[in-house]
Amino acid sequence: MTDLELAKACIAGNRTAQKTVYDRNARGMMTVCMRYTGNRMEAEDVFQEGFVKAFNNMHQYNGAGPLGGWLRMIMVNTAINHLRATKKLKYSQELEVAERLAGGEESALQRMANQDLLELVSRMPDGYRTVFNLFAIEGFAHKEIGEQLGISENTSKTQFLKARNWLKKQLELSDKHA
Amino acid sequence: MKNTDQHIRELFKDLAHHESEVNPALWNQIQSALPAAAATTATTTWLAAKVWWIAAGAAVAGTITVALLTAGDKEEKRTEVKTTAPAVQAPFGETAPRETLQESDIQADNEGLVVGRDTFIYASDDQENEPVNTPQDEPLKSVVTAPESHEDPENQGDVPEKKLIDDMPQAEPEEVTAEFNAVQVNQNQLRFFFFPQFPEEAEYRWLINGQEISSDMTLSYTFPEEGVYEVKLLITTDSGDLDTRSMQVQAWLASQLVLPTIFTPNADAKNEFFDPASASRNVTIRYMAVFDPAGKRVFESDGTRLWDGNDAFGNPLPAGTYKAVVKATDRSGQPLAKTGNLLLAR
Repeated sequence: MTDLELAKACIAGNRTAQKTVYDRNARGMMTVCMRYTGNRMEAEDVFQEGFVKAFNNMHQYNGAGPLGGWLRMIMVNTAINHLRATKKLKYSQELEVAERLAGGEESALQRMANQDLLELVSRMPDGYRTVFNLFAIEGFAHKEIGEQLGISENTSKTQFLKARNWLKKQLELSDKHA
Repeated sequence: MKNTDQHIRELFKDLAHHESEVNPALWNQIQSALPAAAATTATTTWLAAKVWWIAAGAAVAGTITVALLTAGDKEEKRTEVKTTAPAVQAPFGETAPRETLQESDIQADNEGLVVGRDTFIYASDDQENEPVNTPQDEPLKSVVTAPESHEDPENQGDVPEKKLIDDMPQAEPEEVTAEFNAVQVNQNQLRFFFFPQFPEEAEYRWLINGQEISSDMTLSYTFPEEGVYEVKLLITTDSGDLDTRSMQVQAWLASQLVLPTIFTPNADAKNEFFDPASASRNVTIRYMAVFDPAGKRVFESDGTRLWDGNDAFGNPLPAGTYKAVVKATDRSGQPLAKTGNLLLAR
């Protein structure tokens, strides 16, 4: 069964198909929600709303890519809308001088397991976590992120640099404690 | 710099496929919000969960029919529930016992119909699908109401007409219907998610209190403040079929009883009284008592009088850690109680 056939069965209201789509994607989507909200309670809210939205709008899926990718974008959008609604997406428009990131953090990151990386991203301040997620993990360009969030390309870049610097600080701290 | 960015992407790329634990209860909540198989005949319309309830305070005796689809199959299960007058105040209190509802553990709750953590309100009004054994003396009213309506003077006595959605245009089962559901995403926020019961290719228009908000198929909306709002969905298909439904949405935050932990009766006009009502949300204080460190009761009140840190004779009590007992009722009149330490500082 292709993803498109599966989606059609979901649209027809087939519970088995809906459950299949859910079971295949739920765990991955929960990671997405955790990455954007930073805590499980909000992540579960976004997760539920995202899945309900996805199932109610599945006729918009045209089979162009994998269904999982389509779901992921719905989840990301739902998370961003949630952050907006809860006023956690706030960007100052001023251009900031980007601090240069000194090297040395990569090796520490390389040692980290995915679960630790997820926790690190979850702990990241709301302000730049969204840009970090969109850029580093979803793989968007700063221009696209700017359009999606309604901020300038430069603000997106600045936010990402802040995220990088924050990561660097965290790794320094964890190295000290290690 | 670009290389560093690329490098970070590389380091985090596996996180894109990382899988997290999922609370198994979430699926039940999601599927209960989904449309399932469409009706195959003209006489039966599938309903995810259709619930009839009676406006609070309305003295209606008769039969309430709860038509439900058990999750995962296409059979409609109908359960009849006898009620006696006067109707209970909580729409899901006694009129619709939870065992008649879906496996998703719909529970009676102070805040409304709760499925798990979410409040679901159903705006369904296609009575033509209901069995004919409706009450004889008074027709069943399909009402979207709040459980706490006994506090709302409008709901006392007869069912106020504006609460009814019976007079909405009624669609034939196979025709386009703008029937929609509402979910309060989180009881501590006024964010609601509205979605059509039978999504289809059509033009959607969502109005809140008469103002057009969105033309998307679903609507995610945060109400600016607590209150009752009219949410309306207009739907027009390419072939020109149209339907409209509206719903009275009671947007309340969950009741919270919070006890202040410190107060300073030193006549600086700040924290002069032990005032749990001000620290709480959507509650009415019914009883307060304060005990001194030795366990002796030094204050007692029905909630209308606040403690000023003095004993019954008006003598200031010494600083120290006291114990406060507060009883209250939430919006729906359900009792709440809390005990906590209270630091009296002078």
